[in-house]
Amino acid sequence: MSGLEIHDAFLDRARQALGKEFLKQAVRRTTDRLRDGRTVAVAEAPEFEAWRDALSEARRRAIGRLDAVLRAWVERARAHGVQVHFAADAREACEIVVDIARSKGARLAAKGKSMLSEEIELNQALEAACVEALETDLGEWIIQLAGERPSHIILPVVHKPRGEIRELFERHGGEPLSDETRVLAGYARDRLRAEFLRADLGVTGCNMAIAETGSIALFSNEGNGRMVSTLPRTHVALMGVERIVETQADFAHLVRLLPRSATGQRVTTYVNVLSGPARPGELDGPEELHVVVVDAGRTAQLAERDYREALACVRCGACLNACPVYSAVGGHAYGTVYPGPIGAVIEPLYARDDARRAELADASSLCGACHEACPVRIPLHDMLVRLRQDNARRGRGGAMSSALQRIAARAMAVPFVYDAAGRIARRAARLAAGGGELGRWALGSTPGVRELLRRRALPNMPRRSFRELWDELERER
Amino acid sequence: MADRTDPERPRRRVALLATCLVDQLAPEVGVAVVRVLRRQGVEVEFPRAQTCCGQAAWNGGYSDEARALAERTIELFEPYEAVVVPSGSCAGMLHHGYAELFRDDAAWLARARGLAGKTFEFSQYLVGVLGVVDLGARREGKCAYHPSCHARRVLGLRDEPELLLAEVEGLELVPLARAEDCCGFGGSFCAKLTELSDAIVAAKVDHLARSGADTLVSTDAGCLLNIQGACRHRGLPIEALHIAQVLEARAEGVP
Amino acid sequence: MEAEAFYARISAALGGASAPWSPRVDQVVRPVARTRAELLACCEEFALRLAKVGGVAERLPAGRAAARVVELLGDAPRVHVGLELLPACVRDAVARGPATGPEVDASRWRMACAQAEWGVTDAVQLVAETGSTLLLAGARRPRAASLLPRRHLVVAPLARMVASIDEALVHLREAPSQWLLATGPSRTSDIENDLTIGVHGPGVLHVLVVDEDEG
Repeated sequence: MSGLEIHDAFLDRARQALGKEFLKQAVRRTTDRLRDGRTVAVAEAPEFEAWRDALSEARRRAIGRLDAVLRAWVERARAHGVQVHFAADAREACEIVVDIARSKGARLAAKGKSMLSEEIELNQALEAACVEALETDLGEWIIQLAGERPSHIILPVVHKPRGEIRELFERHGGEPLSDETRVLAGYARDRLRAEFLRADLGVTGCNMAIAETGSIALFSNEGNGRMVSTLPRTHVALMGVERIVETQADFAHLVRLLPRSATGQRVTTYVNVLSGPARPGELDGPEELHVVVVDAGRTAQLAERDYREALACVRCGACLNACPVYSAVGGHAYGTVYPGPIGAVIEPLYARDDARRAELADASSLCGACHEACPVRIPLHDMLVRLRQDNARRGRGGAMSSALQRIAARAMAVPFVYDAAGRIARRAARLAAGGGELGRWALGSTPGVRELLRRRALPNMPRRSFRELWDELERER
Repeated sequence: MADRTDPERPRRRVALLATCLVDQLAPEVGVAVVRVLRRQGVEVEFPRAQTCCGQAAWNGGYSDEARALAERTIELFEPYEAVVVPSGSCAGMLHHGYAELFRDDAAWLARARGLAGKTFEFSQYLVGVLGVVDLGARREGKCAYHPSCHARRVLGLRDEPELLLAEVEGLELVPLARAEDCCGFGGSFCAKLTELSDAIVAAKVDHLARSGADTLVSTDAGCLLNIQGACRHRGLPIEALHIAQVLEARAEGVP
Repeated sequence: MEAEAFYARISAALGGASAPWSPRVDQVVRPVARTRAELLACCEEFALRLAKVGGVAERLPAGRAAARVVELLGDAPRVHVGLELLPACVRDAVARGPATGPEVDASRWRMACAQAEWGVTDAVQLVAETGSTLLLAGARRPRAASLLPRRHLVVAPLARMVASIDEALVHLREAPSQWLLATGPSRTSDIENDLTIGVHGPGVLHVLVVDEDEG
């Protein structure tokens, strides 16, 4: 247990992660690779900051009049033949998709990567309705075979060594495979190819909707998103209500910034923009395109001035890669669908979950690297501070530690108390450094200090504070 | 170019906001700041009633307590012509944190902005206001620079510390891999999520050990205490110094 | 949930209904006319960018394009978009051998695509900035031609070259049922950060830029 008596699930999970050597190294290797990719991409583009400004403005502009922009998108999408549905929450969203699947007599839903689908737990709802839900993104498929949750927004399986992936595939196919990436990816390609052709329902997310053209856009590198939006007769796209830009010009900035921020690519391999189902005379493409617009806590967040800007998020994962906490422990420690700084901010708000709000707000050193990396400049570190304020107001985060911190802060406002406390602390530390029992006891019973000193030597404690030295310093003049 | 005690020049006067960390745990940093500034002809005052700028309470989520400390700090320092802070983090609090803190109080916000406009982190004051980079300092050895997160990302400090270090005689500035990464201090973070902080500072110390530096320099006492403690725990003979301490050591012949 | 109730929730969260939104007409940007020298410079950048992501681009005079197509495709089974969409000089070469075009019915089309080694398509734009090919869907441009075959060959005239993504999108005011920016072969790094080419989509993207003004 930590010195400040935080009994939180995050710390427990973080500890577990820190005990796993492969995971620790794999996560750091991944975040290093991704942020190095971003660094190079930024250096190559002198216009990068201007693009960021433009995309930040475009996202806030659309969100600032989301009702009108969404309405305009819906009008145009419907004109293209899109069937638009509205879901207030996760349950409604799942019901809508299940109803579509039922009405089509669907047996197999092939899925493109969608964090929203994870969020609303669509797979479970489909399975309950006897529709097989099959993840087709390589990483997501591995996660599904392993019965786990993604640990990174864009690289869901960073935590898994190739040996485990081989074992999963061998169990799945009943034939021996090698550890080579080419072999493993080839196995997935062959197995999933047949499923794409067999699936009667394709389910994807929606990276962004474009109001001007009534379109939805899907970004992918593997091409599975194209498969599931092209081959099945029915395509259902899940769209978070906030995932919209006004114009194609705004969208161009996303095309540039999303991949650069995520992996350092100049552009994702496939940017697939759909405006309605296949039109008369087309040989392929879905007969029906349904878009389910999902709220699930987002409009509530829209109403919160302190957190509204987080709705500008484009789900690139750059804040995860930049975050020292994420890089140290990976995504599972957060216990959320969306990990990292963005997850710590949005997920408790979506879920209206105060307990998570409390534990995840502290999962940051407030270094600001997330804000620095964010392509839409969401002030995540400020939001984490605001979450901490909410917690303090609601008395969350441990009564003992709250009381101590409040008392300490109040004492700071009274110079002589502040002075005396400092003198006592320095004296205790000096005694402890000298091997004194009393000092050791004092340090050991000071919250946080004992734990800190497990991996850090005690600093040399000055006898006198700066203010006590000031008079001498004045005489030097 | 060492001293600027030219009697013709109007004397600059600054108030030192020492920060609670420097005052209580690293007074030698405050001493170095005062000496370096005086050598540049700057008159330094130390408002005695100062304590903490309120950052710790603010970052902990205790906004009422933070506000009381912020108001004290503003009242205490706004009469001065300029304020120098030997911490990018606390200077960042005055610049950015106070703007957040007082965002719904126009009167205090204006006062906070007024103070922020004349508040400078130590190296920022030297390079940006005094326009000096060569302070006639001397130190033998190899030095790595750790840009503190708040100095860089909250306050917006650029390469001022590196410009100053580059002019120190005998000192070789060596590159530090992933220098911009957090050291894991984070105020209450290191006390609350200590094992995480341990893992983060371990990465910093790994890079530092590989850099070949014998000295680590930063602008913030928090980072320095954290990194120094971790280095000593691992038995690495690396000295963590505040930039003012490096600049205080004078070259021969410099008065 | 009903649409109006859904909009009303958003309006309430925003503190009141926003004014109706529609795109400003003056935002429309006109396509840029390019000199030959500019097109050639774009083409060079395009090839460089595409090569960086594992694709191949080559510029060929019209007279040599057909031979190159034959060389690449050999007698492998191929599917293709409407031949009239491809530069005249390569149509015969593409149609030769075991070829399937959009004249067949949907089920034969899909089967042919699944079995084809090559899919041959046009591109309405080639984007220098990123090395991207802009593909449209339509009656004569079925989507699976660039999706199911193991390799994808794009044949497009040099005049389709544009400098930037914005410029490419200018041509898309009238939204087709699908447009696709395809940049290089399909890829994944999901397994231990190890980049692999050709996971679901084609493993090869080859672009022939036909230069109709050269020999």
